[in-house]
Amino acid sequence: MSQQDQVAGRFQQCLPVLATLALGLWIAYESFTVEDPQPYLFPQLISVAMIGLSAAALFRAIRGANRTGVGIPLDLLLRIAPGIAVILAYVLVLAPQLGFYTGSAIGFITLYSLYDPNPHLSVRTWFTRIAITAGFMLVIYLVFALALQVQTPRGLFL
Amino acid sequence: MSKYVTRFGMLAVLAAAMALPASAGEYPDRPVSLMVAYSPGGATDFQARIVTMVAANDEYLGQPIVIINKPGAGGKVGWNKFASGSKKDGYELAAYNVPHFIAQSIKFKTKYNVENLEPIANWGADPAVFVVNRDSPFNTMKDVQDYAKANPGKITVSGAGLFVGHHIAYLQIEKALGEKLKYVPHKGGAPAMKSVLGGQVMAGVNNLSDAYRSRDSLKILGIADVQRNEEFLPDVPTLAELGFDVDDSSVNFRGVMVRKGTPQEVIDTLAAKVPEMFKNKRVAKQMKAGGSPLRVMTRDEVKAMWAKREEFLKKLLAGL
Amino acid sequence: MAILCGGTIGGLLLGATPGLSPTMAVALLIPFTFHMTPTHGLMLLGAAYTATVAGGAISAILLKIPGAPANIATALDGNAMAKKGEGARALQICFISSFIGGVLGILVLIFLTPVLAKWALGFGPSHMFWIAILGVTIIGSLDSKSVIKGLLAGAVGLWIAMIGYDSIQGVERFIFSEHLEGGVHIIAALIGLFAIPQIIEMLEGGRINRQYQIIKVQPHSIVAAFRETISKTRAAVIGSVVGVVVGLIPGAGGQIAGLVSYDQARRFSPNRDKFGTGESEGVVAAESANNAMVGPSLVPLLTLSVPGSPTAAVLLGGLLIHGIFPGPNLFVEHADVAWAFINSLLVGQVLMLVFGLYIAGLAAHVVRIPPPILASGILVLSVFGAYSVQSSYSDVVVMLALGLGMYFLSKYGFSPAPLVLGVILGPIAESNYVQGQIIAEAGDGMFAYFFTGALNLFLIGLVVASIVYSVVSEIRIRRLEPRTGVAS
Repeated sequence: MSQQDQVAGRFQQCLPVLATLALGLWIAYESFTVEDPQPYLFPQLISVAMIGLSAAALFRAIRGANRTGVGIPLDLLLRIAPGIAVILAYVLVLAPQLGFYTGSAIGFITLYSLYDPNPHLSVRTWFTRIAITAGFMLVIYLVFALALQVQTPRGLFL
Repeated sequence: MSKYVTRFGMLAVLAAAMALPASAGEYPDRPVSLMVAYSPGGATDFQARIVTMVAANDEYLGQPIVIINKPGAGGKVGWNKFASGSKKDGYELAAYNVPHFIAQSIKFKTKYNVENLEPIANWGADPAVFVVNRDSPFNTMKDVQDYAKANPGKITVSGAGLFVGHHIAYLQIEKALGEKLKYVPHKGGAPAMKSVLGGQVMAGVNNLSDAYRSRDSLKILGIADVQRNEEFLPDVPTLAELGFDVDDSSVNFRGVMVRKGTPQEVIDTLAAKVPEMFKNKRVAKQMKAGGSPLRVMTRDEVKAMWAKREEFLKKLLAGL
Repeated sequence: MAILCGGTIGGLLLGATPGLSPTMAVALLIPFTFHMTPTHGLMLLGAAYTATVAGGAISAILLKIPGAPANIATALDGNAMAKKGEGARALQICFISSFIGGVLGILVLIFLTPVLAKWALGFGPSHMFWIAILGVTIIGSLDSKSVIKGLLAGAVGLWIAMIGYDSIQGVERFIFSEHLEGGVHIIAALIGLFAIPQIIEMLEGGRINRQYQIIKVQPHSIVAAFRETISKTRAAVIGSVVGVVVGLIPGAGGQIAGLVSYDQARRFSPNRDKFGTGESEGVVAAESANNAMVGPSLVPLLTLSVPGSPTAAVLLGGLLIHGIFPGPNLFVEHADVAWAFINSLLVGQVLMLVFGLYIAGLAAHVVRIPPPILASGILVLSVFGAYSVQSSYSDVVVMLALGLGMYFLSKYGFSPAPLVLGVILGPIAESNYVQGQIIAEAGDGMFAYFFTGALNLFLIGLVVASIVYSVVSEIRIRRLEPRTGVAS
């Protein structure tokens, strides 16, 4: 079963172009209703192009003529959902609240452990995971904090 | 469980590496940061780096000053963040550019204005100059005025953006000439200078320091300041000398400030030591080598200068 | 010499890090040079500049995450090669063609600077506008199976570039979140659009559901790589010429040199249908252009003290901080420093080739790192990379938001390359149009300004040719395609 041959259904194909259509309409609304239209010339042109292209793509999607893209089947969504949740938690909560280095260490080991096929209940597995996380974070710290002197935000910790 | 072990392991490693002194002594007892609202490598950035390079000497702060760049939207992003989110403990300083930040606080909805910021000291003053290409038919400001009289609105003048020093100098010059010109805003001083050198525009308003570096391909017709620049361009007259009513309102002043609410004793310490640091011999030598005019002003002088600019700009920008 | 070697190796590795584009890397290194002599400091910057440009290709090829916008075109075919197990070959070819382009570019800098400086300055707003439009014409056909989706992605990219304070008039546009106040930085967009979808793709297998797809790394002989690169004369010539020309034009953004050259090489190649599937010609064209750009992009800076590119602007600061004034007198007053800098660029090319070829063998094994580790590592690097661009947490949030959106779009046949191209071209087209409009009002009017003059007409000719070519090839493809009952 090759993924290339699998094409998302008509309904799914409509979703992304409906999104761009909505975006185009919103941009058009924002840029055609301002008092001073001069700085909005380009956004106006872009919104018109976006609406036109989205409409064409939508028409093709309804006819079933869009033959690119595999879509997102439910089982795939379920497999990536925990990963995306960890990424969001890391970037939006852990990194700013705990500090970039602490947050990153937690984000790294959580994401890694979640998708690591080695057994969770083995001491060896955890030893490897911790060692890799510590090693990686040390390199990041050496490069960004010591060598390049990037001042990252601090939270509760570093 | 193991996750916690890692976390604390990590922390221990990082803390050891940082070796931060935690003792609370006299201010400052740890490095101080200076936020620059422009990109690294820009004029404000490299001048800030030069004037703070001796901060760690015992006679000054005794602690190094670390530059943090937060560029974006002509400085608005950095200053907005500074005025709304920085700590008021004296460990977070920022560099100011007058008249930019004052003009922006008048023209735009910004979180900063002269009221919620406290000046510490000024290190530099870069006046605007009126330049034309070496091949230009204009040789004096009088030529420009005559041409503008015959062709109103036909002389294109480049400058770095709207409501920055260049634009303000342009507005003053246009008013003083009594003739219409055409301002072409660019994305910064360098592209604006490029347009003059490349002949895309007929004239330009630019920084004295940048014009000085390109002086072989330019004619510098006048300085928008109250005095000539003896150090770099002693032969170029001020616009006022030429009979045009242009003062030093557009001069780009650069200096250090803190947020309002910073403890008074911290402000006093900084206000006493920072101007001395700017006067350091090594700093002066390096600034001159970089073609940047040094002008050290104390906290009180800067306060008066800010107030004067604020008043002037409110009037000038009211009609726009 | 130690500085040059250090600068080169460091530059290659930094360049491979998403977010640390050449401009960023040079900017971050300037404080470093502060405590060195001017000669040493500039040698470090020169070597680092050279190496970061080439280093961006490493991650582009192995992970399809370009280290800098310039490396987008490299990712198209380079990554396809890596997926076939030819990572080592792709990297070797990449560094060899980088070297060829880079040396040519520096020779142009050394010998033709006085002649070209004036010519380069002649490009005004109307010309820049047409160059940006020329770039827009290649959006649709870039790395996208569907022209309509390519154009749609390009339009979204153009809009993203309009967010924030408009750089000329200072008007706030589309700031619907405080994180967007500073606009969307091109590097944050680049990391988000390329790296985040790659990270999520690595997680698609779930935990134990599927075995990792182990990609074998076939060792490849360096001699064969030399022979192969040299045999791709057409691509190397196109790449070097495009790189030199685009590099010279101030403000064109060397970021598009690789893409323009890739597009041209495809049009002139008999294998044009194989582009995008791992055709080494694509890598040669893209990388020779990227590096050919380095030397010429410094021409306006060194002769007239006008930085022509963002990296040149940062280098100007690096020069001034040491009291060195670029300009006509540079080679009179500071001849030793100036030549040390130019030599460091040249020697940097040689070192880049040597270390690059060495790294190529090792780096190709990156694809064998288990996906969960690779994904977590890239994630952390992306966050740090996006943050360090402007010390802004907002950039990190914007990066993630764009990345998640791009992942879902990529599942429907949208591709990040046209989107990033839109983000790059939007501001160039708009600001030059606005400036041109103001200048035209003071002169002979819009038509005369934008549509007369040899250079304008030449560029318009290129735009028309590009559109005609796209339409013709689209029709040709449709004819060749077997009818399956649906129009494509």
